[in-house]
Amino acid sequence: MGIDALEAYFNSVYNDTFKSVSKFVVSKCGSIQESEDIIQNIYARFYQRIAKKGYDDIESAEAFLINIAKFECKNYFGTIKKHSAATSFSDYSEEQMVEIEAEMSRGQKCFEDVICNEFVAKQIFEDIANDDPVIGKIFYLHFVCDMKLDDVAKALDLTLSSVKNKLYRTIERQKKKFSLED
Amino acid sequence: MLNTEEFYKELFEKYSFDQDKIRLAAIKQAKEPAAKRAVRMYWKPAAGIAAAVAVTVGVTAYAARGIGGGVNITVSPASALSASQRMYEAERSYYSAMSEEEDIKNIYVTFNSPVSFSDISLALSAVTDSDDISIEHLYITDGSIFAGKEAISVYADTSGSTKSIAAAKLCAPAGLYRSIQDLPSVYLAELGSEEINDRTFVPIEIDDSDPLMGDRMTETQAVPPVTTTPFSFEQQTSAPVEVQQPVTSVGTDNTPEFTDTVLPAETDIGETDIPETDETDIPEIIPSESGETSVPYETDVPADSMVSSSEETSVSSTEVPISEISDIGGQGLMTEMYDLNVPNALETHLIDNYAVVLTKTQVYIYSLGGFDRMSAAQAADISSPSVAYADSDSIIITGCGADGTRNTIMHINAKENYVTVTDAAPFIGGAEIGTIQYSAASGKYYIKVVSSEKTYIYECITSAESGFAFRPLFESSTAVSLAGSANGKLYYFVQNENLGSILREFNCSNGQIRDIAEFETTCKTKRSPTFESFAIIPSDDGETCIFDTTSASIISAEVTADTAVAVSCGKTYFRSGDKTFVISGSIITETSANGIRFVIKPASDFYVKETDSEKVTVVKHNRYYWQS
Repeated sequence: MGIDALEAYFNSVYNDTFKSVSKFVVSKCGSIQESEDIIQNIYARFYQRIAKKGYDDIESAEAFLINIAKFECKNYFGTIKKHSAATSFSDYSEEQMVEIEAEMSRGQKCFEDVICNEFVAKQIFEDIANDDPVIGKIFYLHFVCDMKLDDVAKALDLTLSSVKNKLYRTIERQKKKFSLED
Repeated sequence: MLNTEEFYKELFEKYSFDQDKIRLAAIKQAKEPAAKRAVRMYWKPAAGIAAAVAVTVGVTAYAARGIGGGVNITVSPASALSASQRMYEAERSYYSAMSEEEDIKNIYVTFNSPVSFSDISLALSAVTDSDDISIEHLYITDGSIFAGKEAISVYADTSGSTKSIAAAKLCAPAGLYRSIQDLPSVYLAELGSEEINDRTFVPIEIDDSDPLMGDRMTETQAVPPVTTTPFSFEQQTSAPVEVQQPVTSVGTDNTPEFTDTVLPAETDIGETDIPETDETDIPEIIPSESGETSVPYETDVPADSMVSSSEETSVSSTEVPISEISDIGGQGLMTEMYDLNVPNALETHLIDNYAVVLTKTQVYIYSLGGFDRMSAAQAADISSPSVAYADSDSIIITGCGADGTRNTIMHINAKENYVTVTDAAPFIGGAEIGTIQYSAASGKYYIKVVSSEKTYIYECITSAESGFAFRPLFESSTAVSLAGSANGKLYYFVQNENLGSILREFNCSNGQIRDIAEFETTCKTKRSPTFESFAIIPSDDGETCIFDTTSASIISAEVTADTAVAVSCGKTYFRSGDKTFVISGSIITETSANGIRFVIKPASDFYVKETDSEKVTVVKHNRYYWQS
């Protein structure tokens, strides 16, 4: 098997599976930053495998990769204690959450400005990434993987209320910190 | 104008992962040998996974053994580095270690496999400046530690050639670290640190069964013939569900002279026209429309109490159209849908929260539910897989060996969360596995094995550790069909096209055989799912009767050739036309015909919605209790 064919196959699988693999890893692993290393390992091992044994026998590359991911995640994070579901601050009331949810669907011009400003945008991202690892995972699974919040809660073994509080509180905090309001 | 949702979506898509960077780094990592070693991960099937975790949390009881004044060590690891994190730390040390560095360091060495003290001495002698290396601790495979020169000296004198050393703590110039790591017998060398020290170090447990370098289950089929792997996801229990659910199974016994007619269970679920399923349809008895029933335990029958009927004919997979499910009282709503991306799937079997997908050459096991979607716990290479037996707890799949002989048994035990693959060739020679039947009463499997000349019957037990173990019972030069078992006795038909059938009893404990009854024509049978009772159906339209194995008696009843059999709450029911009979002891009594309905009891909360060339779509339906 030529190296070109191998890499073409790898790249194709990579593009097709990255989202599902990252979704799995983020939900299982410690933080977004750690997830990146795990994902790299997963694909490195996949590459080694197909380089050594070919890929004709792999009927479902995604299933194969998720299988690898499970082992990787277990080996990396088997000892990390589950985060506490409790929040250290007072929770939002139902009314407040409804208000925040309504606010989230309203368009704001400043968001476009921020996205175009790479420096600020990266700062905002890193502000989340460097916060409680769970918060980064909630953001990723909800916004990137399009998971509903109750699914995120299940995936992270949290209560829905806890997920909402973490998410909304972070958004509210960022709005103030980075002046993200028109 | 972006809203908050869109803003964060864009932000995270842009900054969370640099896909190109990860892709290139992964390829680089895969290609570079040094990097490869650094990320080498030893996969741990079964207990190995738990062992890897044990390493990190220090629950492994490495009790210090002071000998001759050796230093006692209490191992109570404080660090929480995982095995792989330790490997990464070692990798970092490997690259940062300078060959000229002369600081004396503690180096903790885990060996590839247990070595003797002589092996260590010999290996270290290959290192330049080996005189500068001293052995401080020996970590023995039984959990003991020899610490200090005197203790080690005693160990070397008494057990110097015993290969029981899992790891050692060395003291050596840091510059020798790489050389030590490069020794062939060394799995991992770790520099002492806050995380890795006398208090925290335990040897890494090593297992070479890397699924990436070969499909584990296939590779290990030869020696030993059994592989065991736990599902790596959480077992989920399913509550009783009273929804029609097709679960199909393909028997491997194609004995032409004994083709049972499989009777469809009645489908009294609304007006649905759900395809009939055959072999593993699991009927359940539920209350009648009026709510009256003469059958006790008619409600909330636990899934475990239901076992599938087993027949010997082959059927193809069937599906339930979602529209029909939705029509059932308006309550059968979809709740979850999973695309199992298995191309060219031939069959899908559902058991509990697992989907078992068969292709021509492989068996995939998926967990269904929660975020574990799309996660294949196993993908085993099995040539021409075929489901031989299935009940609500497990599925048994047979496959062909390299020579095309059907002699491999894969046992997926959903209840106890493990999979075994047994190469039966050492037990059955060149013969092929036919019928597999489970006796709930004895907890044993009875397997019919067929060669070109004879039929062999084996009694088998199975476990996660050893897979199937075979015990030969008897052989026959004429065709044999298994019928039932109870009280240590196996009942079977000897079939002869010219002479008819003989129902025989084989005493499994002393090997005695006695004839129970002779029939002028060959007989078909319909076994109860528990293998305890069966209907005897003469092929000449003679009188159909029931045989109860617990009382070893033939019971006449007004049953016909289209009799269906079901088991619920330990009772066996035969249904024939409008009449339903229940066996109690050696007596069969008719129950209220109007009070009993058979519906198909699902073995899973899921059903197969669609199968195409690319994937299998599995849907979970809402649980509901049907009442018309």
